[in-house]
Amino acid sequence: VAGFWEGRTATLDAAFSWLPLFFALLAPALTMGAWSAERRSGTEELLLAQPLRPGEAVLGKFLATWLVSALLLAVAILPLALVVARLGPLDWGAVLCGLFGAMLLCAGFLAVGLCASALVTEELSAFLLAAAILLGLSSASLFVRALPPALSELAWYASPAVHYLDTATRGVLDARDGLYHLLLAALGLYLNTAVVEGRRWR
Amino acid sequence: MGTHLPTRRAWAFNAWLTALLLAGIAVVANRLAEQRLRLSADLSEERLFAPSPVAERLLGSLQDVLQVKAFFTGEVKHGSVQLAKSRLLDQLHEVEDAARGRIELVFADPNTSSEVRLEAERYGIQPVPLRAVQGTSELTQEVFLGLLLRYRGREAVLPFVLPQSFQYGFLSELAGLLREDHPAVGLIAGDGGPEELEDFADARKLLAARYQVRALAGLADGEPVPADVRLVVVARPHDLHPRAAFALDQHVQRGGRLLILAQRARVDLGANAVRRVETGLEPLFDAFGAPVDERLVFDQDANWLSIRAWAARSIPSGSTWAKGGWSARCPSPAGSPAPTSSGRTPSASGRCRGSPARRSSGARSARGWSRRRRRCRPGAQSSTRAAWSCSPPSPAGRATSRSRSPAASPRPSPRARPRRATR
Repeated sequence: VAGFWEGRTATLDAAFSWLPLFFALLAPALTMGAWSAERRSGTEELLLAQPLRPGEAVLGKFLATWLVSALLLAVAILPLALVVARLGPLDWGAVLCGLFGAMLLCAGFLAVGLCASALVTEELSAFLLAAAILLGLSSASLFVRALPPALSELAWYASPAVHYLDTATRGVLDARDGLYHLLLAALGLYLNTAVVEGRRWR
Repeated sequence: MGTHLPTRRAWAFNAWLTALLLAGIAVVANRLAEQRLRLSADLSEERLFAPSPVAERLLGSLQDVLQVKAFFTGEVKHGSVQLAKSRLLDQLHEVEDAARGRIELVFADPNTSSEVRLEAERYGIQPVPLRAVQGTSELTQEVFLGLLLRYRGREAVLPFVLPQSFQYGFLSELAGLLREDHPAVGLIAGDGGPEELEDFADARKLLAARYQVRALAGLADGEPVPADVRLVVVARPHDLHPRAAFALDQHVQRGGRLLILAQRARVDLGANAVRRVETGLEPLFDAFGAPVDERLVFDQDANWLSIRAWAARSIPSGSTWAKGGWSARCPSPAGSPAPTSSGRTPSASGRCRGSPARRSSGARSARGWSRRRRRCRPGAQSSTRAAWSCSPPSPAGRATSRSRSPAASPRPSPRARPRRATR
C-alpha cells in the first residue's frame, strides 16, 4: 500500500484512505441487482404482493447488503490490522473508529446504490448509474481549487470521503460526520421507497 | 361517499416534492451541524485530537473576557485557502465553546474596509498575496488571516494563522497574555563564559518575548545565581568550572528550577569523529540521580554515516549487536590516546560501528567492513543505515544493560547475532 512503508508508523490510514473509492465501486456491485434483477425476473410483483410495506422491503434489502459489506470489510481489514499490529504498536481505538466510520460511509453508499437499482431495469445500468453518482460525490472534494469559493465549500462538505477521512481514520468520532452519512442513507432509502411505491401504481 | 384516492400523477408529484424537501433539509441540517454541532469523541489510544489539558487549563484560567478579533478576508478566491479559513473558523468556535463564554469573537474584513485594513496593519497583520484561478483568468488577491488577542489591556498578535499551527500559536499567545509578570530566566552556555552565549541568540530572542533573560556569565567566578531568577537554562555545557556547578546546585537547593541541555558525546560531521564531552556537571547529575549516558543514539532510518569513536582502537572482542546497533566496550579514556583538537583520535584504526541493514549477513570480517566503508563515504546518500553505541567500561567489563554480551546471551537470535571484527 502506497505510503505505508514510507510512513514507518503502524497505522491503517493508507488502507482506510482507499475505502471511499473501494466502496464507491463495491456498493453499486452489491446493490445493482437488488431491484433491477427482481424486476427483470418478474419477482418484484411477488415481493410487493407480500404483506409488507415497500419501506420494509427496502429496509430489508438495505440491511442485507449492509451486513454483507460489513463481512467484506471485516475480512479485508482485520487480517491487515493483525499483520500491522505485529509490525508495531497499532492504535486499535483508531482502527475500530475507522471501521465504524467505514460502516457509516457504506450505509450511505448502499442506500444510493439501492435507489439507482430501483430506477433502472438493467443491472449494468444500475451499477454504472450508482458508480457515477458515488464517484462524482467522492471526487467532489478534488475540485475545490478549481471551483469558486461558495461552490468549493459546498463541494467539500458534499463529499462523503471528506466526512469519513477527516476524523474517523484518526480515531475521532464526530457527530457532524455521522449526521452526514445518516442523512445520505435516509435520503437514499426514502427515494428508493418512493420509486418502489410509485411502481405499485402502474 | 367513497374514499378519495390520489391520482398517480399527484402521488408522483408529492413523492418528488418530499424528496426535494428531504434533500433540502439534509443540506441545511449538514450546514447547521457544521456550524453549530460540536460533539466528538476521541477514541484513539493517546487521545491526540481531544482538547489538550494545557488548552483546557489555559482557557479555564481566564478570569476576564478575552477578545479575539479575527482579521479575515471575507471572500477568499483561492479555493484551498477558503477551506483553510473555514477550518480556522471551526477551530475558533471550538476554542470559544471550550472557554464557556469567556471569549468574545469579533470578525473584521480588511479587504472591504480601509479603516479595518489600517487597524490590521497597525498591529503588524499584513496581507499575503495569493494567486487564484477564476474561470479562465488568474487573479491575485491579498488575503488576511490574522488574529488579535486582547485581555485585560494587553494585546498579542498572530499575523497569519493556518489550521495546522493555530492551536500552538493561539495557546502560546494566550499563555503570554495570562502571565501577570515576566519571570527572570538565567542562561548559561558552553563553558560558562559570554562567548558561547552568542550561539543562542535566537533562543534568547524567543525567550525575551516572554521572560527577562539574564546571561549568567559570572558563575565560574563565584557569583551566585540571582535570587529572582526562577529558571536557569544551561545550554550545551562543557568543561564548566566546579564553582559554576556549585552555584547551580545552590540555586536548585533554594528551590529554583534548572534546565540542562547536555550531551556527553559530540558528533563532528566535518571531522568525521565523535568527541567525548565533559560537561563539568557530572557530580550534579549523579547527585540528582539523573546521570547522562555517554552512548549515542542513532536513527536506524538515517543514512549510513561513518563515525570514528574518540577512544576505541578497534571493535573490542566483547562488542555485541544490540537492538539498534553495536554496543562496544570501549577502552578506558585514561588508557587511550586523547582526542586531538579536531576530535580525531591519533589512531585511525579506532572505530565502533555497525549497520542494522547488514544484520542478516552474519559475521563479517574486518576486510569486508573496509570494502563497505569505501563505498559508503561520509555524507554520501546510501540506503544502508548506521547505528553506533559505545558505553564506558564497567568494572566487570560487561556491556551496558541495553546490549547483550555473548556471555549473557549464549544463543542470540539471528536478528541479534553478535558479530566480531578482528584486526
